[in-house]
Amino acid sequence: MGALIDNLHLGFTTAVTFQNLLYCFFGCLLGTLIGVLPGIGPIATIAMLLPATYALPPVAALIMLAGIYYGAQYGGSTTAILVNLPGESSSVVTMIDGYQMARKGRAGAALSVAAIGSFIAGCFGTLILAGFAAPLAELAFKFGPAEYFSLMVLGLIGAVVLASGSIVKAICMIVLGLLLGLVGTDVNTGTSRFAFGIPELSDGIGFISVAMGLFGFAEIIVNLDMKEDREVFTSKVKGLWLSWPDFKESIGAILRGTFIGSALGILPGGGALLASFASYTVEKKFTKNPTPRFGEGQIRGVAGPESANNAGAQTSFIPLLTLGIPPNAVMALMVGAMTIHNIQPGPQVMSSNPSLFWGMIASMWIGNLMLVVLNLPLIGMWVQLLKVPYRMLYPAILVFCCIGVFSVNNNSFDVLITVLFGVLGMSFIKYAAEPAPLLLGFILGPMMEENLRRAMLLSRGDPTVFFTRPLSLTMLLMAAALLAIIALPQIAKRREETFVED
Amino acid sequence: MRIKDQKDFYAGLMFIIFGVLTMWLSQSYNMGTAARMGPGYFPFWLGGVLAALGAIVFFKSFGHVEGTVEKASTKSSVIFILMMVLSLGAGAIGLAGPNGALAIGTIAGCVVAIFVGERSMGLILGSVGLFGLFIKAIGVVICTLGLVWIAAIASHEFKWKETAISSTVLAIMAWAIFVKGLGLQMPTWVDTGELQRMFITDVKTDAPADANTDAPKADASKADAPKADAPKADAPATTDAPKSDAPKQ
Repeated sequence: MGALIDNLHLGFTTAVTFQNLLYCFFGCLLGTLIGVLPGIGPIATIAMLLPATYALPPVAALIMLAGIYYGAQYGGSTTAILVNLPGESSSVVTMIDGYQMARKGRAGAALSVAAIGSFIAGCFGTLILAGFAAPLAELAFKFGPAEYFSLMVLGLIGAVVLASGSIVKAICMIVLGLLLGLVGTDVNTGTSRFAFGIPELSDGIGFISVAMGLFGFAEIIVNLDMKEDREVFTSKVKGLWLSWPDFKESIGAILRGTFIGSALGILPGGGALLASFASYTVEKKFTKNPTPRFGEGQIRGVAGPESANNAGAQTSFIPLLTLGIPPNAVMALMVGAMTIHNIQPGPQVMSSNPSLFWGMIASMWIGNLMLVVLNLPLIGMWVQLLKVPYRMLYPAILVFCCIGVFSVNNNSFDVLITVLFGVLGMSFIKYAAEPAPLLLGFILGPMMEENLRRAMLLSRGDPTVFFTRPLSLTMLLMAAALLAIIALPQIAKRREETFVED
Repeated sequence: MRIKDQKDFYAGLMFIIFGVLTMWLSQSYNMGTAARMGPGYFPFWLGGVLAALGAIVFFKSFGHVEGTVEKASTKSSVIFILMMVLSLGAGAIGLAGPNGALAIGTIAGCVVAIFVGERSMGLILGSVGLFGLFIKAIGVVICTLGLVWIAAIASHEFKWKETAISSTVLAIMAWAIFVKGLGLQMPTWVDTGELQRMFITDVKTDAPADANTDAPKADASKADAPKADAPKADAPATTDAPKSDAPKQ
């Protein structure tokens, strides 16, 4: 406990410098902005800003990028409530009851419960992160290549849960991602693989190009192809404070959402999106005779998922910081950000870079505080922003994406290859294959091959090594159990329902 | 037995193709043994897994059908294949270096997309492709203007005046933020040397004089006729010319 306080002290002294506070604020602001705006998410934004963070000190860069992610969770709820569009994928569930509340003139209550719930969840998530990180990192030092391989299998199977639709298709997307990650020079032998003799491919396909093409560009095209109706409840936002009965009604949901979110965030493959779905399902099940009913403006339907997605966003940093395994696509980008600054994500970050590690955690708490201020009193500003038509917005997004991709290596090839991935992303959308698992596979591909090779080398080609080492076996069993659970007909059906939830 | 789910049918097919292709390509690399895996081992078996799982998706898409089947558009996949074939083909027959070949494939694919009804995809990705092709030669300011104009046309509510204003503002912002503010190493303005290297055969950097007549023409044609670029870009740029890119880190 004493050590934890010492560590947090170190964290706060790092985070509360003028520069780091500034970047924390900037990240939160930007996160709220892109959270509010539909059609651009944290994946595209972080990918866009990665090259720009090159010039910053590593702590400031990571503080800012983290701020974008959890800031987006706050901002997303505003759009969900006021416009009935998911500003952020994880606020899809918030739309169901939040928008109904807004239609009944209770937009203020919905917005404030979302912000307060998020704040409580954020604080709790940060505490969990601080408390769990050290023991988990301790455990990670016991990991050999076999354990790492099994952990990645578990993480990737976990990612399947995150994807909507067919499980087999989601696994296919993961495998495709793993294969795409292998393009380039093989580190062990120097053989150039799948590069078609193109020198630009010898270092592999740029991660940012893949992310931009699959997420950034494909999303813009989809948005352009469907005409949207926006009805913004601007005049009706008043009473931005939670009344006592409302608070009493929602506090239970907030706490439950926080716990669910924190737990699911730690799991590989989890994160904000899954957390909000799970929380909504729980609330719907556990509330007896709700008035108004769920789907008609029930405040718990906003409080629970919004708390859950923020807690999940926070705790999903745990696998990244302690094991070096990104649990979702945004964390995969954070790996990229750390690599740019020559930091190898994993258990050693905490010991070799303590100020970075604890500074980032402390900044998350500060960031959550900033976000409450940014979101509640300044709500009017964000509402104004929603009036900017999409036709003005997407060319700007496109410009920033293109410049971002180009500036990674000052290479035209990287920009051109995003076009290919944009078209591929469109195909995925047309065939209802979620691209998020692919991105995760893409990051893990080389790591997985490396650890598989090492493990097999150490065991002299005996594949049973993955089943005889207890830690490795445990993780493989967990992966198998996870697969079995989601494949059960009953749960598969329930899962389908959760994802199409009216 | 008919196709009951077109999306799964094509998705399965796509995975099978990717998987089999990977297995086929992996065979040219050293396989090694389970204890000492060569570079071909992991991708070969992973490709097998992909093909097998793809086959499951594929075969499960058949079944008894009641009523009509929801159609899944395959246009984007066809365009993807077209882009790959054109790019690899252009590279293989030595039309251009890697950048040029990829530009030919992707931009030609985007033009095709516009004509087969995938208008917004063709325009958006086409504008990105042109940006990538020209950024080094004409710099970030003009490229941003071009990008915004072409992309803006993709919207149903395109407005001339609005686009004129927003493209100018964005071009200035791009310069101010990225070049001035963040100090990124960016080509800012037209670089005639680079332009010549892109379009003229056998240009040596020390003999730019004879290229002057062609450079402006190429520049002018780019704005509104993306198709015209493709055949031009393929001028067999002396193999190392387009590779003057800074070495990747």
